[in-house]
Amino acid sequence: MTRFIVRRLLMLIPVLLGVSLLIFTLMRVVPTDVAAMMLGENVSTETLASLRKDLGLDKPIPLQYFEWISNVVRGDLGRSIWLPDKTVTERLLQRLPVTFELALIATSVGIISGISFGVLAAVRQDTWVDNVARAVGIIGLAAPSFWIATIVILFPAIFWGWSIPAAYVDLTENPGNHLMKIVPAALVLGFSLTATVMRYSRTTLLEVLRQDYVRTARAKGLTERVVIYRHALKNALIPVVTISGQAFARQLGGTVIIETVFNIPGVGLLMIGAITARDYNMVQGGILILALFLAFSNLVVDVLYAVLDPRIRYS
Amino acid sequence: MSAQGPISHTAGEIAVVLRPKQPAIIQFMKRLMHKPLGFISFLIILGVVFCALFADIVAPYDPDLTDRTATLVAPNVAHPLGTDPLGRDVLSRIIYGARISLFIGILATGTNVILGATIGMIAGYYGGRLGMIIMRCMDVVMAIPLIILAIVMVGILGPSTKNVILAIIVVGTPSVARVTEGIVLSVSKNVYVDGGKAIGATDFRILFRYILPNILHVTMVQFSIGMGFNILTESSLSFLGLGSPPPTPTWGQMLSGSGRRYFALAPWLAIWPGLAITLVVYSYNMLGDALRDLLDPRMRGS
Repeated sequence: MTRFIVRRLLMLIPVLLGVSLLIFTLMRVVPTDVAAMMLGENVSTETLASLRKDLGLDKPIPLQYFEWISNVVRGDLGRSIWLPDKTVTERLLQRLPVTFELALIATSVGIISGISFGVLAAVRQDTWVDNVARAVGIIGLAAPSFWIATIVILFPAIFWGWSIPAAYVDLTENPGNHLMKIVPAALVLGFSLTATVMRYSRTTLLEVLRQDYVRTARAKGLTERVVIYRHALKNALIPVVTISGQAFARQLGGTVIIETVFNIPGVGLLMIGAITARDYNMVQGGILILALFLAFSNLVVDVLYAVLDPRIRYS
Repeated sequence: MSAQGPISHTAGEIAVVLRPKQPAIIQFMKRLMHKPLGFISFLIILGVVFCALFADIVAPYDPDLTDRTATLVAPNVAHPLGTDPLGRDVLSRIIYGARISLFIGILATGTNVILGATIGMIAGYYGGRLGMIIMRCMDVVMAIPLIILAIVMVGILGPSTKNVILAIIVVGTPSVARVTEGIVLSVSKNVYVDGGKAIGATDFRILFRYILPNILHVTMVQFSIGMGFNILTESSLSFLGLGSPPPTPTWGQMLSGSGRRYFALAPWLAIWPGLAITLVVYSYNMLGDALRDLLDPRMRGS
């Protein structure tokens, strides 16, 4: 197992290098003069040239990449072009907790409700319960999160004159207002996960219920309840772990949209601003960190998978 | 049985006589009808495709026609879904919006599936170092949260229909490739593939005549699910102001920008475009589900 983890961590290195190269290239596909963007129109060419020099943008692009990546491997993501008083790392660390909080609440809600509905649908396969659960569950997959968010913000305001606080406050500052803002956002974010987990646990449970050992359990005269909850469910839920890990990773992406609609200052909102402003270091650093988290959550899922399922052994 | 055709002597022809031949599409439709959700979804998709193709005829108004005398009109007979702050007919804009959603969806998803399946087949069949390099490249793209990569791409390249399609292709192809590679790995181990090799079939022939037919059911499901997912991505990008630029009516854009100020006054503006997206994405997902059940040889008859 240790060897497996070590090997996976080593495999991360080329992937993350690839990500860094991809994102670095992408940021420079369209030549944009950031210096001109920052200084406006009425400046002399000398001022422009000196700013470019300060930002290191006068060097050849391959050299820029090399300098950036050699700092990154030493743990230095550089400074934001627009706000050079703080490092990219500091700004990310400031924003990450909010995004994590969102993603974590969304994921827990999604997994718990998803498994419950999935089991219900599987146990009553092809009845109206199954059809309704599947139909409702898939709405979570089909309805765009920004639309559900819009409705969630709009309708309480129209019907009850209650609206989600417009400004974001820290948990430490005013926990009530903080949660009133975060919880609705997290619920909207988790809704799509509910659908994914539901579909998945329904399918796997149905597959497990067809297996011989379940038939044996029934033949022994066990009640349906015991057969499902004691025998089938445990095995059925193992693959759900995988899908949940992937879903958590996807939530990290989905927060961008939710943060925009609810105006929550997380990493997503930070990234959108940075992309528009061509804040190279900020975007590159942010993407790398997100990719790193994604990779780690995938690794954790794979390890969990082996721990939960004795048939799986990594070597 | 013999009434349906002359009695023949070769085995092949007898088989034809015994089983009255129906076009594959009709056989398929008959089976689809046993999956009510899948069948209804199929009909909805047909309806939306029809609206998109014949938007000029179906839509009651020009989608860009502004009417200062009829701004923010609540749904009524003249404007079944109401009008927006510029007095444009919401129903007409949604019908025209179907055009851009489906156009981007079909073009991007089609490319995803063809490109992804080809890459996956090559990586899975040849394996070895080539397969590993290909799949690691796919891993690199998949290492970034999809929607964020799409946002970065369109944000840098500039919002346009072309760039949205490009972003969706880049973001969506690796997952198709990964799934295809997995299946090809297992399909290649079948005896009939060895048989093909033994009688001297070329790699090309084995890939397209032996392996492709056996992975096609997965590819079709991926197309249907991918359509739903990509239409969702397109609308998200549009919502963030990164879609096809105005005045092109897109569903995502109808829910975004300065129009949001009017939602409290005219809630219908917030409802219909979202409902349209949901209905279409939902239908593609349900159709994908039904296809999975119908096309997977192991699930047949269950």
